[in-house]
Amino acid sequence: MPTSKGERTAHAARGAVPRSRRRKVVETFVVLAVIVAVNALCSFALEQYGSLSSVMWSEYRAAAGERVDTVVVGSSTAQRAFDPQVLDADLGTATFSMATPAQQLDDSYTAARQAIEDHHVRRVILGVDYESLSLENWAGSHVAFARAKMQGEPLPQAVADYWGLLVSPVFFGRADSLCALFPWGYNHVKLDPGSVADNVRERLSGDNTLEAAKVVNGGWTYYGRGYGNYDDVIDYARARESTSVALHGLSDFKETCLDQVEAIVRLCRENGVQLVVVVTPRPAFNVLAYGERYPGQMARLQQLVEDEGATFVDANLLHAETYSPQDADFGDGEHLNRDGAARFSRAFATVLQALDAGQDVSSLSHSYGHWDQYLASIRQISAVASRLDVGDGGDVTVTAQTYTGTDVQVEYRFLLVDKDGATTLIQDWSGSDSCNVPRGSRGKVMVCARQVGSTADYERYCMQGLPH
Amino acid sequence: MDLLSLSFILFLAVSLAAYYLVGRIAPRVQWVVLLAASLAFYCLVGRWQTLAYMLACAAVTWAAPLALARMDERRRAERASAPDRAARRAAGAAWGRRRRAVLAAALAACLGILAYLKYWNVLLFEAGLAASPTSLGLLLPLGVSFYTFQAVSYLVDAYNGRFEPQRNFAKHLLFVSWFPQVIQGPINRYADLGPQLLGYRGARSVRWGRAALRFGYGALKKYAIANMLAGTVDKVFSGVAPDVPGSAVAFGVLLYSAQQYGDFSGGIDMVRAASALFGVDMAENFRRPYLSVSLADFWRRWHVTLGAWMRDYVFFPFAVSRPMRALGAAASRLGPHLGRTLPACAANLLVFLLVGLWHGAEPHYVAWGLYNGVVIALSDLLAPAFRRAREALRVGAWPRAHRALCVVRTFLVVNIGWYFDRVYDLGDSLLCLRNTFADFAPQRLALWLSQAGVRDSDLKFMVLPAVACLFVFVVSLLQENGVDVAGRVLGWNCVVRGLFYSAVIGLIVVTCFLTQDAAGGFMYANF
Amino acid sequence: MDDDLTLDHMIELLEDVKGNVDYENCTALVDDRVLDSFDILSIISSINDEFDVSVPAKDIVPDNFNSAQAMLDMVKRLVDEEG
Repeated sequence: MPTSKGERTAHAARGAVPRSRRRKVVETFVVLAVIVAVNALCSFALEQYGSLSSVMWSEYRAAAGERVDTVVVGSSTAQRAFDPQVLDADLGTATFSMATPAQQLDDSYTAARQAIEDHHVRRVILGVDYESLSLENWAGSHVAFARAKMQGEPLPQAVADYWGLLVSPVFFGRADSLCALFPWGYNHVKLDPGSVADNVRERLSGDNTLEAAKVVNGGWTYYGRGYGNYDDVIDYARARESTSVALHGLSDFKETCLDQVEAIVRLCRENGVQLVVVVTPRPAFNVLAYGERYPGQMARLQQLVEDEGATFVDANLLHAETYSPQDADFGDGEHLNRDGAARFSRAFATVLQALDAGQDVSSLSHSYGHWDQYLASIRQISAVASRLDVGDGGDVTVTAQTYTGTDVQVEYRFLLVDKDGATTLIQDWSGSDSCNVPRGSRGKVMVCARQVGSTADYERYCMQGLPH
Repeated sequence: MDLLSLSFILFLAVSLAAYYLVGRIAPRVQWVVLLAASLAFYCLVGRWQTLAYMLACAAVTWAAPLALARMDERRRAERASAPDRAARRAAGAAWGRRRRAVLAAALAACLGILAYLKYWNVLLFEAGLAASPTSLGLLLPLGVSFYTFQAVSYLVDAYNGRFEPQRNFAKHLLFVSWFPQVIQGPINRYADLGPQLLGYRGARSVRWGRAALRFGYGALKKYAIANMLAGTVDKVFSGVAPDVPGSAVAFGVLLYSAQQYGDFSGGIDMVRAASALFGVDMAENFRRPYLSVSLADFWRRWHVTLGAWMRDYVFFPFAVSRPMRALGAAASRLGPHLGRTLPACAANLLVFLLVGLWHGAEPHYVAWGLYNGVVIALSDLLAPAFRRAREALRVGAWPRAHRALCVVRTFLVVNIGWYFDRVYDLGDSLLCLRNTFADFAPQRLALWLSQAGVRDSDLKFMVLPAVACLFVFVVSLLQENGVDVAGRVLGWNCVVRGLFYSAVIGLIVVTCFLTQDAAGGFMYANF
Repeated sequence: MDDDLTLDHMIELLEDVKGNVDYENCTALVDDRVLDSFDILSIISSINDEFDVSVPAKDIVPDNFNSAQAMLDMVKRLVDEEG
């Protein structure tokens, strides 16, 4: 069909605009595709393969056909406090641990709900510590948990789960809601070539998540039913650095966290599930370090839990005849090690037996209202820490701070340790908790503490570095 | 709602879709979408309870210019019907007085609300009559300082007859409440912003790529620089004691200068980008301020719209007022330079006193404002001496070196100002300043920082904001030399662009993760 | 008086305030930041001395100071108004 030249030019001109627009659209798609590809590559290389969250979820899925009537939820303190085999041996239950490192309370809710849906469990044990309620929004833990949960899910469910995370109250209004689209930023391996190479190798090796986790987490052993632990033992001489207050700071419980506990309590009540909220054991010094805040804040949690009809147990306040941890039970200031978890789980089984028998378990422990009785019940020195003061004239004073019960009489000795390990006595055993360091001293001061009447070299000690 | 968040992106997406859809169907009411979005944003981000203050401010600044316009008509009519020249003058003067009274009343209402909300409690506290600077529990409405100043500029411009006042209250309210500006400015002018908000905009005229780039650049400054440094700056300045080494203070102030710039200019970039998506270009607020050659130059490049506001509504009116002209005439007897300079110096002192007060009523803000005013006034007064010195030293022979030297000098002068801005107690500011010069003690820096709670990891991760700062510095230098950086980037091959964007996003993602409340400086934790 | 109001006279005045500027051709003295607010005040002060007319604050807008011609027009208008 003949067309005039004018028409043709108009046609070409009209065609030219869309062509440049089409080019722009294509370019935009290429840019987006590159970003997506780089993101996928980074996630492959950097995102931790064999994270403990992914172990939990993959093992949980693998146990789909097995009987589960009790689940443990909570953060690493819960993960490392409850040994399902010990509990089950004493109680005849079938326990699975769904606790994961730094698990946030709303993720504990998700885990508990999943277990109630899948297994109609009859008991949920929520293990918490002070930081479960005083710290919030640890987005990295949320991302790792959601990513691990997604792994075995059909795509629509996985997308819905992740979208649910992005629009959850803690993410939606914050940068995390966009940044979490790049999950490698939230749960990555150490950023050195060796670690990245190990991660990629592990991913490509064909190892499953569990095998990879054993490689990634040196010293960690898996014992089945979602439970794994370490065998390390705390060094009490490093108490000063290992209190939770030193690690995380000290603040009051967050309302949002208490609301999340309340949501878990409601979930259990509505489904006829027994809920036991347990404050997990830690060395006494790491309870005492909070001062009066500990009973003050914990009492809020206890009241909330009990008002809603659930059971509250603070393992740190249990009377010695029910539970009395040994020094070597702890892996660090916050966690039990494997032996400690076994010992605690046996003790805790008796608490649950009492509960099942209809007894009032609150009679098994001290109460926050009578904090002085708890303080008086501590019969040993839990730890000693020290402080250094430099006076105006340059005089150096070392002062000891002991974490112990109110009825314990403590005496101190101060030794100077030079860099070759040779020791000189600065101040012999006495009730004085501070000592002046002779001028010109170099090295470290060893602060020893023991109970009056003891003949030991020390019960606890710590090292205080001196300024050069 | 953070600007970099899914909620804000969704908010933008819904608003943009509605805006351009309505623009197709009913272009005449397209602006209504902007008003609805602005009010919704105000309720979502601020507190809806404080919306009333904004409505009151908009109502006053809408009604007063209309009254002024009507009075103008009456004056003209009376003057036209006056029998003689004397009667004409009398009518003009009488109406002039009434117009001034209306302006004064409207100004008093707007600035009175602002002063009450912002200063009353602090004044009571400083006078010992209130338990704390916030004891009255007054809710400071989101963006009150910005929208009040913007509305006042409209009022004064209308009084001066710069434009026909807006008759439609809803349209005026849109100008006052335009959501990208309510968080932190810029303070726009009606003549520039009004027509853009109210006219029709098609989606095709929007430069999406540039807007996205600006948004990302802002996010980089805000997250990779400001948020990364904020914690350390807090730790340094919350532990100020007489023995604080000057090196720690200097370190803190340097970080603060980067934090402050990253936070403010980054935020402004993000809101200007958001506004640009609706085809509305807001006023520029930062022009590479740390490349200024003098403190006066700095204030023309830092928070540009506040400086311009002060210039037009305080500096000029005050400097050409009758008392200042008399001062100038008196001073010119001592020399022509003094006669010309003194009114400007006085006006500058007033302007910077107000700039200080605008930031807060606390004494350290006032001191900060006055410091800037005094330095600028002195440099004006001593300009002839400086010129002679320059001629004597023949600096004209090395213009580039001289310029670089001026930039460094200005940066130092600005940083001394930050002492008063950031250290929240005037006595501590002076202490910090003294120790910077008298007790620098770099050997005590590391120990002091660790005692103040600055972790080794905080210092180690500072490599990330350092990379971001370097990037911003390079971009700034290019822009200073007239390079259209955004245009260049958009012209790159699309694969290269994708890789470049990935790197920037990666930096933002990593720093965003590191600045979470609970991360506690752990770069990695195996969850 | 009126014969004083020439462009040459205005440019001479401007050069006294700030030299090294092409006042004859530049039409964006304020917009391009050739003149800062301090220069504007000096110009107003000189206009006051030379032409015996005061510039009110409301006339201090960029349009009136962007070029020598604009300033001249403004001064002429102000002289007319006062007269």
